[in-house]
Amino acid sequence: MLDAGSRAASVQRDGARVVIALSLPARAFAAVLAAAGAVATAFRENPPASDAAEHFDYLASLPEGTAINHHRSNKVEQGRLAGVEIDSVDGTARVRIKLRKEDRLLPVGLCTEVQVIDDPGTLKARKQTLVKDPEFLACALPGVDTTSLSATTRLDCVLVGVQRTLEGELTAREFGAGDDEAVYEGNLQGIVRARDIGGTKDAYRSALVPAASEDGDAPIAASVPKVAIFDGARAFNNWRSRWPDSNWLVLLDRGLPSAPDGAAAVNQGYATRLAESDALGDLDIPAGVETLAYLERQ
Amino acid sequence: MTPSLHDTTALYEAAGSLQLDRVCVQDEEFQRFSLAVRELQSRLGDDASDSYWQPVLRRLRRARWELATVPLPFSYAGFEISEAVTYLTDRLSDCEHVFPAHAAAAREVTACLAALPEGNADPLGPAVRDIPFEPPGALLLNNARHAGAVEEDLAGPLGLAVLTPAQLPGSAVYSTMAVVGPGCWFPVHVFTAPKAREIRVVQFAWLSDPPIDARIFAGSQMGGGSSSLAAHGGGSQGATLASAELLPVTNWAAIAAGTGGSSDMQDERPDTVSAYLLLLASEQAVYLEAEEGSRAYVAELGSSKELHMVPTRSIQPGTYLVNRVGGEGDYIPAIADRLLGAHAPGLRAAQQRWKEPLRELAASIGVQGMLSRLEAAGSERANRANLRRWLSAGSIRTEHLADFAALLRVAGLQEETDELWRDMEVIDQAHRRAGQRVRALLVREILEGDTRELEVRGWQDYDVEEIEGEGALRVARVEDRHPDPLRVSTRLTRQLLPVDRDLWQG
Repeated sequence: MLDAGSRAASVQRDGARVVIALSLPARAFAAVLAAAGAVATAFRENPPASDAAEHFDYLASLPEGTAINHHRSNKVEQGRLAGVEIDSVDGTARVRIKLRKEDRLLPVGLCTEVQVIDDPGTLKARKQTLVKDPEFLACALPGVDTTSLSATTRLDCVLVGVQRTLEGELTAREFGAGDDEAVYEGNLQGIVRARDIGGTKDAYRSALVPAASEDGDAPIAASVPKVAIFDGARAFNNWRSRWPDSNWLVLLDRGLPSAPDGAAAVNQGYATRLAESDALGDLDIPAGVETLAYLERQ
Repeated sequence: MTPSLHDTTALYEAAGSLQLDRVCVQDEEFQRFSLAVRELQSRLGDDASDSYWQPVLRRLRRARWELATVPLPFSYAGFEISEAVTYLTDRLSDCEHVFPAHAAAAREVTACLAALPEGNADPLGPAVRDIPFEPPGALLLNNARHAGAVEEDLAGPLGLAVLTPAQLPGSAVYSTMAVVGPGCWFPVHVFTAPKAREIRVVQFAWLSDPPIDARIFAGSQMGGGSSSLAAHGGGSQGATLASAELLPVTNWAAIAAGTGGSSDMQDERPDTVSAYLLLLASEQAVYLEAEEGSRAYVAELGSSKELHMVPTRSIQPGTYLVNRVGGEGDYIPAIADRLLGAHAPGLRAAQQRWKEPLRELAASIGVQGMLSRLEAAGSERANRANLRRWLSAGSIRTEHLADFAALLRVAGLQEETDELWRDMEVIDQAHRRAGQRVRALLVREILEGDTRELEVRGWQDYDVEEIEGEGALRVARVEDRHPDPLRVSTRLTRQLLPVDRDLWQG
C-alpha cells in the first residue's frame, strides 16, 4: 500500500491523470498507508526550499507580517516575517523574523529553517516539539529530512473517507520502525501530517475530507495535490471530480455492499481511458489484492 | 472502532490463502420435492402467473428455499411445513375442476412436501457437525430468519458463531467457516473478502454452483494468480437443478398492492406522495417520501460504523434504517410533541389551521390555479413541488417568510401571519431538538454500543422515553428496494407495514 501511494505520487503524464484502483479484502489502514507512501515520495521528489538562495528570494518577496514557522533542531515556533536586511559591516543579506521573545536575523544558509504558514489561523506563542517520534520517523523515512517534513506545509495528498475512522488509523500507535539496535513505535500521522488532526494547527502535508460532507469542506490550497486517495465507493463517487489534475488512488473494500458502486465508476473510467498505465507494473501485488491502472484525460 | 493492524493482516492472509472446499449431502425425498416444484412450474407455463397458482407457488418456493438453506431437521416447527401442507391441500382442493391438467402434479408436489417432516430427516445438520472446525469457527446462513434456532440446536453446542452475510464486513477472521448453501446464493464478498482461512460450502449435491469471479474491475490483475474461485472436493457434479432457480424473488407487485402503493404516477391527489418502497429485515415494508429534500436516518455497520441523515433516494439495501414502531407516522414529530408538552395540541392545531383551507382551495381550483394566486400574493418560490411540500402534513413552515405570508393571504388568514409564523417556529425548533435526541440515542446505542444482536437479527428496537405509550425506534436493515417510486397515501409513509413472508418468495 505504501508502494501504491508512492507510485500514485510520482507518476506524471502530460494532460492525463493516472487512476490506480485496488480492490482489497479489507480497507483498514490501506488509505493511510497509501497516504504515507504518497507524502514521503512527494517530499523526496520535491523537497521544500531545496535551493536556499531561491528560498531566501522567495521570503524576501513576501510582505512583512507574513506568518511563518521557524524550526531549529526539534523545536518549532511561530512568528512573523519582518523583511530582509543587509549587514552594514559584512554586507551579508539576512531575513528578519519576529518570534515571541526575540528577533532573529538569518542568513541565506539558515533561511530554510523558515517556512511560510499557508493557513496561519491563530499563531501559537509557545515553542513546541516539532517531531513527535523522531527516532521512528528517522528509521521509517531514511534519507528524508524529517524536521523539514514536519515543519513545512504543502498539500501533497488529500484523503477522502470516513473522517473518524481515518483519524483513528492515523493516530493508532501500531507501527514500528527500527535498526539493528532498537525498534521505535510511532503512528502514521507523523508521516502523513494530515491537517488539523487532534485539534492542532501544525504544519501539514495532507488533508482529510469527510466523504459524506459537502463541497465546502474541501481543503483550499494554492497547490494541486499530487494524489487524491479515495477510501471507499462513496468517497470516489462523491468527490473525484474535485481534483481533476491530481492522480487518483481508489481503494475499495470488496467486503462492503458499496463496493460494486465504486467498481462501476472505476470501470466507466476504464472504458473511456486514454491508455493503460504501467504505474504498478513491477510491483509484487499480494494475493487477494486486485489492481487496475489506467490513464484518463484531465 | 478501528480494527487493529493485526486483525487487518489476518484478513489479508485469509484472502491470500483461502482454502475453499465443498461438502455435498444427499436427501432423495427433498430432491424429489425440489424437482416436483420445478416440474409443476414448468407444466403451468403461463398459468403460473394466474392468481390461483401464485400463492401456491410462493408457498412451495418458500418451503424449498428454507429447507435448502437452514441446517435444521425438516420437522423443525419454524419451517411451518404442516401448515403449508394444510394450506396447499385446502387451496388445491378444487384443482381437479379448475385446472384438471395440472391436478396430478399439484397432488404430487403436496405429497412430497407432506412426506418431508415425517422421517425427521436432517441432512444438513450432520454434515455441519462432521466438519472438523478449528476454533474459532462460524456458521454462515443466508439470512437471519431461523438463526436463533440454528444457534440453539446446532451451532451453540459446537461452539460456532452464527452469522449472516450482512455481519461479515465488521467480523473478525475465523479459522473455519461453514457456509450453508451453494456459493452463488451468497454475496461474492463472502468468498472474495473471506472472514475465515478455511470455508466449507455445505449444500445439497443436486444443486449446481458455478465458479466465482473474484474481480470487480474490468481488465484488472489479481495478485496471487487466479481470479476464479471454485470449491474443491465433494463436487456438485450430477447437479440436476440450477441453484439460481431456488433464489427468492421479491414479488414487488403483490407487496405494493398489499401495502397501499400504486404505480400510477399520474395520481396527483394532494393526499398522496411519490415514495420509495423498502423491505426491511423485520419482515416489514416502509414507504419513504421521494420528494426532493426528503431525508432519513440510516446507520451503516461493518468495518466502520457510521450514522447519517441521508436523502431517501440514496438509501440502499444493507444499510440500517431508523423507523418508529408503535403509533402513527414519523418519530420526530412524536418526540417533538412530547418536548412541546401541553403546548403541542394548540400548536399542531395552528399548523393544520393554515393548511386546511389551502388544501380545500387546491382541490377546488387545482394546482395551477393555486400557483397563480400564490404568485400574485407575492410568493417567489411557488412551484408544483414546493406547493405539494407546503401542503403536506409533515411540513411545518416555508423557508422564507414571504412565501408563508403569500400562503396565508391566499388562505384568507393574512392577519394571523406573524402569530402563525411564530408558532411554526416553535414547532420547528422542537423538531430540531427531537432530531438531536434521536441522534444522541443512536450514537449511544449504535456507534458506541454493542450491535451484535442488531446485526444477527437484522433489526432491533430502542426505547425512547420521549415517545408516549409503546414508543420505540426500530432500526432495521434494508433488505430490498422497489426499483421505482410509487404513489402512496401520505398517512402510510414512514409507517412499518406487515409483509406476508410468502411475498418474499416471488
